[in-house]
Amino acid sequence: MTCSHVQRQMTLYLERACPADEIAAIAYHIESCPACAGAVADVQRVKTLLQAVRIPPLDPSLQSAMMTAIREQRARTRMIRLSAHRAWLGDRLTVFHRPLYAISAAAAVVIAGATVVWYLLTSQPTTLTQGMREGEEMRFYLKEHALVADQNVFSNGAFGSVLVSNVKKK
Amino acid sequence: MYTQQRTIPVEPEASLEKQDERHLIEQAKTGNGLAFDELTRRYLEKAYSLAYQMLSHPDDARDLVQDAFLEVYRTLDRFNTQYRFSTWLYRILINKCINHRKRETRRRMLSLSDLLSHRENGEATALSVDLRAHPKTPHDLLEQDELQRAIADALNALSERHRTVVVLFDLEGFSHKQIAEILRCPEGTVMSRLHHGRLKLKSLLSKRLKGYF
Repeated sequence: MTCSHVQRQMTLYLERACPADEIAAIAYHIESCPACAGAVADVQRVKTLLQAVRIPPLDPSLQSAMMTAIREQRARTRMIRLSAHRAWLGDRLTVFHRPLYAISAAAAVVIAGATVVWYLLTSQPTTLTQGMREGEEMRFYLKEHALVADQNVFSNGAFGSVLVSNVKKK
Repeated sequence: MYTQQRTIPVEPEASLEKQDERHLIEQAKTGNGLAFDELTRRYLEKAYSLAYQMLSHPDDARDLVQDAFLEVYRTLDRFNTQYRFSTWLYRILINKCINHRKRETRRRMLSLSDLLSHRENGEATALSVDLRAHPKTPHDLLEQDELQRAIADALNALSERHRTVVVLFDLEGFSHKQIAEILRCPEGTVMSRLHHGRLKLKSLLSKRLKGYF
C-alpha cells in the first residue's frame, strides 16, 4: 500500500465504497503514515462541514405559490397547444373556402355515397351452385343423369362427385 | 379443485409507492391535471432544495424549478414509466441549473460593476450552516457567518461537474448510483468527481478558514 494509492482511494475509503480488505489495508497504512492520516482527516473535515449545511425548509406559502404558478403555466401551455392545433386544422380547411374546391368536394362525396347505395341495392348473394346451374356443361350432366338414374343405383353418388369436382375446378 | 397458490415476495411500501407513481404518471399523460399536481407536490420541496443548493439564490431556484416542472409536463408523453420519475426530473433540473449558471457567469463577466456589487452585497450567503454543537456567542455567530460565506464561495468556485456531484452527494444525500443515473455517467466517474471536488474545496476553504484546517 503506497501513499499515492491511499490518496487516490481516499473518497472510496471514506464512503466505504471499496472492498473490505482494501479498507482494512488503507486503515492500516493511515495508522503508520501521518501525511496520509492528515490528508484523510482534512477531506473528512470538508465532508463534515458540508453535511452541517442545512437549507431552511420550503415555506408553505412559497410552496403554494409555486404550485399555483406551475398550474397556471401548464394551463397556458395547454391553451397554446390547443390554439396551435386549431390553427393547423384551420390552415388545411381554408382550401374549402374557394367555391370550386367546395363544390368538387361535395360532388365527390355525393358520387361516392351514390355508388355505395347502388352497389348495395343491386348486388345479390351468389350461391356456390348458382353459376353451375346456369352453365351449358351442367345442362349436359343433368340430361345424362336423367338417363342413367333409373338403371344405376350409384348414379346419384356419381352425379354428386361430378358436382363436387366441377365446383373445385371453378 | 386444487389451485396452486404462489407467494410473491414484494416490498410493500416501496412497490406500492412506485406503482402509485406509475399510475399517477399514466393519469397525467392522459391530461389529468390532478395527477400532475400530486406529482408536483411530491417532488417540489426536494427539487427546490436541490436548485437552491446549486444556485445559492432563492428566486432563481424557484424560477428554474417551475421551468423544470413545465418541461416535464410538456415532454411527459415521451417519458418511459419503467424509469424513475425523480431521476428524470432531477436531470432536467440540474441541466437547467448548469445552463443558468453558465449564462450568469457569462453575463457577470461582461459586467464588472455587477460582479463587484454582487460581492459587496454578499449574495452568496444563501446557505446557512447548522453548527448546533457550538455555543452561540457573538464571536461564534460572526464565525458562523464567515463560515457560511466561505462554504458558499468555495462551492461557487468549483467547476460545474464537481459542484454538481458535491451538492448531490454531500448536501442532498443522493447515493453514487442515483447520481450516476441522474448525470448519465459511470459510478466511478461520480466518485472521481467527488474526490476532486472535495480536494478543491479543502484547498479553497483552508485559505479562508485557517482555524479549521
